[in-house]
Amino acid sequence: MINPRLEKSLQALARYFLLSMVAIVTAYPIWWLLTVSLKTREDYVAHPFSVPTHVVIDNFAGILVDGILLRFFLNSVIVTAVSVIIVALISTMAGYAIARFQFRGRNVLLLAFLLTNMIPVTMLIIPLFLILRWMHLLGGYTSLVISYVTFTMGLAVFLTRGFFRTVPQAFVDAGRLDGCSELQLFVRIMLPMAKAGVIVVSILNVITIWNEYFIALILVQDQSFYTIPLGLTVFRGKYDTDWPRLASALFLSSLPTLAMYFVFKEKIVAGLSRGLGK
Amino acid sequence: MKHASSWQDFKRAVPFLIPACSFYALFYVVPAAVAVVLSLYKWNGLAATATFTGLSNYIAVLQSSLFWKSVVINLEVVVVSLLLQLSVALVLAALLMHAGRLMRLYRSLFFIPQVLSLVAVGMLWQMIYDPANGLLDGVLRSIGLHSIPWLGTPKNALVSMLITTTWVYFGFHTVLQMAGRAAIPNDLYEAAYLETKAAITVFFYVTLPLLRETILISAIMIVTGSFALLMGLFWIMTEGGPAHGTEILGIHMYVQAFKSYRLGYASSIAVVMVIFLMISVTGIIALFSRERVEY
Repeated sequence: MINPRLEKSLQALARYFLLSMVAIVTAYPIWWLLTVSLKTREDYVAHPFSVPTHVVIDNFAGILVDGILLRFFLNSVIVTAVSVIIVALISTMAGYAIARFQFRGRNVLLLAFLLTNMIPVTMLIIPLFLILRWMHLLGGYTSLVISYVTFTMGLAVFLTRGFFRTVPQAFVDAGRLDGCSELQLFVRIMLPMAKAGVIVVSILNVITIWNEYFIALILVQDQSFYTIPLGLTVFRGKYDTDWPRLASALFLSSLPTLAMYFVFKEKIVAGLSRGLGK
Repeated sequence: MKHASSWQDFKRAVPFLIPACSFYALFYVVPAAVAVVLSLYKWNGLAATATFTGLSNYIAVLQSSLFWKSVVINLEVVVVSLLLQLSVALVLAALLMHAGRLMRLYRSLFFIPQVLSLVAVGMLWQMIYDPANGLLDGVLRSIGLHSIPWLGTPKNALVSMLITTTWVYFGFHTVLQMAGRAAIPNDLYEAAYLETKAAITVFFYVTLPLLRETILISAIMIVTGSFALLMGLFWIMTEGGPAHGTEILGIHMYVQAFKSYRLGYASSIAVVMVIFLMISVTGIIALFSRERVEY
């Protein structure tokens, strides 16, 4: 019979050891990426996985000076911002309707929206491509925005509906008594109450849309409209064997979402847990 | 207070529903319908006319060895992902529940791969797997072992892709399972520990059954992910190769459509994929839907 105190300490030790191993496996590739991007090409070929002998920022400087990254960055910003705003608007409206109005078939509608998560737009990419081409919407930002809105609104409707359900009926009744129109009711009373939920959903959407690659690959042919994920493939082609330079492009392009994540991480995790943890 | 009638409520709801439903109808339902129609034709996407071929595309798909190879690969990806990701997530969730203050730190760390662009992840891991200068082979060589062509052979490539996929998504599922665990009241655990001292017994007989719903959600996401989400990652890293070794169904469809210009054929693949997906999801839900566990 082992001393229970000792047993607990050993358990804790084992626990932290395991967790740290996983942490290392998770973090090391990213750290390695950073070290690679700070090396010269020769240094990298010679010592791929040690700390750089001279820290070199030429790679970063080269990319920034190059300028295309900026164009891709702007494209990503525009597409993401517009998509997220549209989704926020239409999904709060739909989520509100499904949550607070009793009409037949509202659960079916909810399920229909959830279906877009199970059979994502990516599987319908062929006909979507054809339809958008037929509508002459392929070039530019429109096709991406449309696709991304359709892609993300399903989950957004589901989550906002969950948030709207928690608003106490008393507020609604008070508003109706005061003679609010439906629209006023929605904007003045409902939206502010669900603000937290909408923000969480939007942050998730920003990350999803910003990082999306496959749909963009098929819908955007014109390089000047490439988003960052597509732009990175351009880099891979351009700096074919210059791994450190590619690494710096990868690192730079990850910074925006990483930054967003670090700022909002508690909200993200909490929102996900609440929305999905039932 | 009298409840408004169902019809009145519906009238009020309509303006709010129109925007989202329009997107839904135009850009989700219509493409779905088009996919089905298109699958009955033979078309290269550019010609002015398409030939009606009825169900022959489907017959061709079902007879195509390449298609079935994709199915097998997709299946392997799904099964391994389910086993790996779920076990890692459950174990980590269990460990993290007792990790105290450090829990937040670990959790934030594990979630990071999810936040990175899958293009960045794909290229990063390509670098890691690179036989010449890569991280893994560098380590192997320094211990005196030969470098392994991680992405060089079909079998290796599939394994490597599974490793990368797990690295990306385990954090998300861990967070999910932690949320599920948080919903389990503590007194249950106290009661359980009164019966037995073994943590493993408690885990299998108490925790797992109660986590059934969150595990179900994770499972569904993993399965649907293998049909759609993974397309980008796989394409970036291996383009389905080498020798179709990592050609999951989504990639197979993409290649047929945009590289071989067989749009009708590819559409039938898409339809078949949707059918497979619905069968899989229904199957998983059925598997998990034995009596509800109440506490």
